[in-house]
Amino acid sequence: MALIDSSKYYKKQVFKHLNLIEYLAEKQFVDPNDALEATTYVLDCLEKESWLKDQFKKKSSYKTFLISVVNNRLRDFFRKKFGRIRPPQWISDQGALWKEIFKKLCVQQMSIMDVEYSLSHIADNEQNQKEINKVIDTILAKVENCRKNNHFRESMDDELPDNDTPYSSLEQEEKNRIALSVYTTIIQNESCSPGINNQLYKKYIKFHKILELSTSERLFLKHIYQTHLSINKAGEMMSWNTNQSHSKFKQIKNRINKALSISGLEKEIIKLIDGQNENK
Amino acid sequence: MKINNTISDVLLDDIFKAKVALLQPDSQKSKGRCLSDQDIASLIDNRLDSEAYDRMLEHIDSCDSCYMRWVDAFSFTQEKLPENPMIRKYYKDFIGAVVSLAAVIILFLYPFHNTSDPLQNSFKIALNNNITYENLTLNTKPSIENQIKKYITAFQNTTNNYQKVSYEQKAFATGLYTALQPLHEAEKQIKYPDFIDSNLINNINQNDSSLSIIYHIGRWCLLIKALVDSNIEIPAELWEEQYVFINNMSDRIKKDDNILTGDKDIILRGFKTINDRLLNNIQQDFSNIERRSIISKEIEKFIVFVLTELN
Repeated sequence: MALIDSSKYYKKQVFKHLNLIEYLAEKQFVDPNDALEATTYVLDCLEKESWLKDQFKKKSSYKTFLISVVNNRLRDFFRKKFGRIRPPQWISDQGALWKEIFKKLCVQQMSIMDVEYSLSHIADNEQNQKEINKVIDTILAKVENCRKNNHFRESMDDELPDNDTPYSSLEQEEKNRIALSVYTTIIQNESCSPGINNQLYKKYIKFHKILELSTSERLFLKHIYQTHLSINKAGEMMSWNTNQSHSKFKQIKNRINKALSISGLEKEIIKLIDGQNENK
Repeated sequence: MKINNTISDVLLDDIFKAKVALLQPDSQKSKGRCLSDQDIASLIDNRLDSEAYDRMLEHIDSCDSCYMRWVDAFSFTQEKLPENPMIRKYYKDFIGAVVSLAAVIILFLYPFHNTSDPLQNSFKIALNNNITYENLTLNTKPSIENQIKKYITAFQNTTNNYQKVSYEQKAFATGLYTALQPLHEAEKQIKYPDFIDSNLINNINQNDSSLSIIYHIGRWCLLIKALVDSNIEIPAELWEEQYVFINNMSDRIKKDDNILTGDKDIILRGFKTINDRLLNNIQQDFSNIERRSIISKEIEKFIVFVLTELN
């Protein structure tokens, strides 16, 4: 027992998993020199923390715990190296994965192939990979100075000027989709300052009251639509089996459709689009 | 009316609806403290009581950083690590070396290999008859090189709108690009254009993938364009191979569920026009330059159509 509780034992455990630590560092930084530096940093941290002797509460497997710790220390190392990053607001609005890709592309200045490799553990099928590629392409096309190194430290304001939304230069055939994105932006603004488009906002609140998504349902949707995970993997993260995941997915979609129609939000958005198209 | 239809279509888009559902009516501030490493690990291994579980999910829902830590760590726990770190580290280079070696061997054996692939046969016949890239560069009209440059440049210009270029378009353009090389004596090793990534290269090299089909159609288009734009006598067997190619490809396209119906229509219609109206005509009189120029224009139309319309 004394042996198990000693930090020597935990040190052994860490070094038993050195392969894993190196792998995580390599996935995060890809560049072999950065990865080596990051591995050294992680090991230094672990040594300072007595090889996790006190942190490991045995509420998970040791391997899962170590992955979680190393992953977090690698993020610390990233912050030390590149500073705290503030992506443009429109990227933050797209969810956590977009921020992650932005960091790798525009701050770490990784090549496209390296970004793909670095995120390959998240993309569990070809479709996810395609979606990640689309995100990469969009960020490269829309973020000015993305490839010109660090302009995105926390002190910087959003890169895009007001009249140059990321959507402004897209082709005609995508304009309806853009319009819809604009409406979601209106809705977001509306939530901060009610009064701009009261009717839309009221319907929007009604929509949410009818829909009543639970936190796990929201996260499930985030997994699928923002992080582009497959339904199976998204469900697995919520501890649901394949059947549960697929039926839950169908149910949520039906509920969203119903809520959109009952609340009148769908009609309100169509009205808004019509108005915009007439003005053009 | 047209606009309304489009809007309704877009409104039916699940992605948009889900995004509306995910917008938070209340403040976006993080709820509670960020999760500890042990919290994340316990969440992944499902070792939490329901109260702690709910509390953690609520925080994760409002904190992108914890959300990404969770997704990352979860994904890593699912991955199987390569046994040997040396193999892992040099895995990419190693595979690259093997692929390069294989490519060199294939290229070396290529002229002696009697294949039943009509496209490869066509290239082989073209090469055996000294129909090389240089021969095809004519003085009287824009050279093949310039014409192909025109396509590729036009394509690269469209790639400025990154979102608009599909994998299928990239695969087709890659086909055009790489087909130049077997016709060019100086080019002995296949090079890929810089607008495609390794994922796409792997895909087009898998013979049964839909992107591979489209890639080979790109190669075929360039070959036919090069042949008809030349004033070189073209052996009858070369034309015969084209019927085989068109029939084979048409069958594969019809059967392939991964190719969108709209894309199938575009390609099959193009094939039909080229096959029925033009190749039949030219077979009767190979040396008829006027007929060749009609095919050339038809192929050009087809290339531009595929490059701009494929989804």
